Amino acid sequence: MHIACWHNRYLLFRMLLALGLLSGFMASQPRQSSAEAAGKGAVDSLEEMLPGINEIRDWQRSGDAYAYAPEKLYNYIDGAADQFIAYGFVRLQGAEYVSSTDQKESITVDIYDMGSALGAFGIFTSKKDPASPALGIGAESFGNDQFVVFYKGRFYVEIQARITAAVNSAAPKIAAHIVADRIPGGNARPEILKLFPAAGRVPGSENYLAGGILGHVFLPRGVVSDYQVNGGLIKAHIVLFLGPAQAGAAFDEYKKYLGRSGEKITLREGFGEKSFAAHEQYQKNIFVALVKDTIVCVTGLSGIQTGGQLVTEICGRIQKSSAPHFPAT
Amino acid sequence: MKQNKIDRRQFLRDMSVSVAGAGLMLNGLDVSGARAAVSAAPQNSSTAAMEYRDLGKTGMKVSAVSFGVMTLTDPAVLFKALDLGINYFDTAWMYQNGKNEELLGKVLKEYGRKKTFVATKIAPVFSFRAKDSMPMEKPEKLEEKMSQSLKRLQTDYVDVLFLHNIVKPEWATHEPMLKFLEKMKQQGKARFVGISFHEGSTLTRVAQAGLQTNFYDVFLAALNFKSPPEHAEALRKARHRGIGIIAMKTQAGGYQDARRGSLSPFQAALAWALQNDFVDCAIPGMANLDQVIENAGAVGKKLGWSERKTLHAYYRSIRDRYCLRCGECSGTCPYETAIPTVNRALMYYEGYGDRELAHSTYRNLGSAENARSCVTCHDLTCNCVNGINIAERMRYAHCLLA
Repeated sequence: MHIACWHNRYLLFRMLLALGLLSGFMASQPRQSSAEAAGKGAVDSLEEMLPGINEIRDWQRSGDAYAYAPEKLYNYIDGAADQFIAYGFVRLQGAEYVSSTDQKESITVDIYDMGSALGAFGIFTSKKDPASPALGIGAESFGNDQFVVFYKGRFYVEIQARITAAVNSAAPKIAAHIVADRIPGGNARPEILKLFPAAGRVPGSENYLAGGILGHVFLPRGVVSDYQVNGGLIKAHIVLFLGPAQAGAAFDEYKKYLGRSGEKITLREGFGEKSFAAHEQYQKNIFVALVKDTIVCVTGLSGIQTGGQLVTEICGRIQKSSAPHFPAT
Repeated sequence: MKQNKIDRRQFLRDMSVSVAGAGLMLNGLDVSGARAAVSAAPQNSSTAAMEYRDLGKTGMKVSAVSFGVMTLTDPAVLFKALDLGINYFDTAWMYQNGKNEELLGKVLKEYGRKKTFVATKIAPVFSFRAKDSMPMEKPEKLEEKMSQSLKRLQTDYVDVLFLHNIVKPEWATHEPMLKFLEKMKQQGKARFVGISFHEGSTLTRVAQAGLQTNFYDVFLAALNFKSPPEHAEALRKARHRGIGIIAMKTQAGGYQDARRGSLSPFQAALAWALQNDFVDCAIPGMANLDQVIENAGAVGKKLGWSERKTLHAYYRSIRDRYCLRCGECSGTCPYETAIPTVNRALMYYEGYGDRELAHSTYRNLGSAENARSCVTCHDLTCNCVNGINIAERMRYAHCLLA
């Protein structure tokens, strides 16, 4: 009995020793920082992401970098600040650069920390100009010689230029590349967009909206994409909540709202956890399903029996994906 | 113009009692559009008749409650507003990089452009950042922007064209700007012209400068129950000269979802603005159906004793927790609590009614930065220069959001 006890203690000692040695070995290995993992040159602070004082050839930074917090953003971009704040804006850091040959030629580099990749994507898509070509900077970009916009990770970047000399026309894009290289992370679009099936989807129509999906305050935020179905255009929304309980409450609120509006609700089975179809004023026919921490809502349907296949596909993808889907930093 | 049935002086006096001290601080706040969620609109609000008023001497009869389109993303909200009789819509060249104008244009084309009034705004400077040094935009650039606006709005003209966000009096009198506006009028691209301004420190001087030009038809200015009397006086003077007055930022925040008396705080704040005899209409920013229904419900409402109490209570309820986020409190906590961020999370919760964003913001703080240590802290070195009881607010935030 006594010998067995000592034998057990000896075994335990050996195990602890082995664990200690293993953890010591691991700790001694050179660690790869998140910035290094993201790519050469990636940095963590907004100010470091800005091009240096003389980093853009033949251009100099004019004055100090400036910063705006949410409550002061209004002083910078006036009423447009509301939209940024609704999308989760945390902080802006920017700087102005002037040409060494002509001080009137200037570019302004503004980096917005939007708090989440979805927030940055949402602001980008709200401003995206389909007529402007993509520039291959960050996750997505567009612009011209006077205006470059892109996002990467949770950062949305705007570069505005006042340039008349052709020799200076490359400066905005050079600045954009410098910033993009310093933002940590890859150039992928937000993962949640993969929940939209490819079949029938209108390319480039994906968006992230905040402030009331379909105009409803109880559907605060979500992603949306257009689909071509049987020659008609419909919209698929995935409304995002902090958890299943909040999603369930919003689902019930939606039914109550439609009931108060005098709309007939048809319960449907086999779509997510709960689902219904109904007509809604201004949205034609809608098909709504509750799935985990989301509500899937397809609108613009020609009849209340349509839209089932798309809802099924989206619900299936959400079931297979790992929650939470709420935008996270 | 509407007869002002309440005693405004009395109201201002009432307000000033509670405003004293903290009033100046609150006048500097801008949380336009921040508002709590109100899921149930008053039963009678959707059927309330819209009231129409003369916009200065323009001859336009605009809905007393009009629409600041700025943050809108869903056209359903515009259709609802049209159904409720709202006929004046305010957007800007810069909002959502032009998508805001596109959204409005699409809806109004479907509804009937001529049945509505549209205003857009173009900034007179390249950027608002360096207000002291940034050169004015060249007129040809402004003309280019105007063409873009009209194309996006799918119309040949706007009813009112504003110079956007005039923060310096000299911008309102800048000769090339006036020539640009005159040209837009002559070409039929703008029926009337005006200036928009809201910066508290220069509002009165900008209004005076604009008035001196004898040129503008409409002023779009910030006005709410927290505005100092001189702002109201400057606008009243302009209205007496025949300039149309449109009030913006009428809600002055939005930190209460409880209904007191017959009006919600937002309705009371809107009713306060509309009861000023010099205000022709107000353009609250609206992003969802509930807001449209609620704001339309303020039409024709008089501010009686109970509504004045609503505003009074509203003011009192926000003044000791309305964070200016000046950052002065940073570093006053020995435990390194991120006080401004915690306050921002509370703003999302209380001001925007966005509980999920509030929770998310709070949870993203590390354990050393959140307000956990405040729950048992008795050091109380934290200090707010504007009088907010930080310790109490931090404890509240942790209980609410942790």
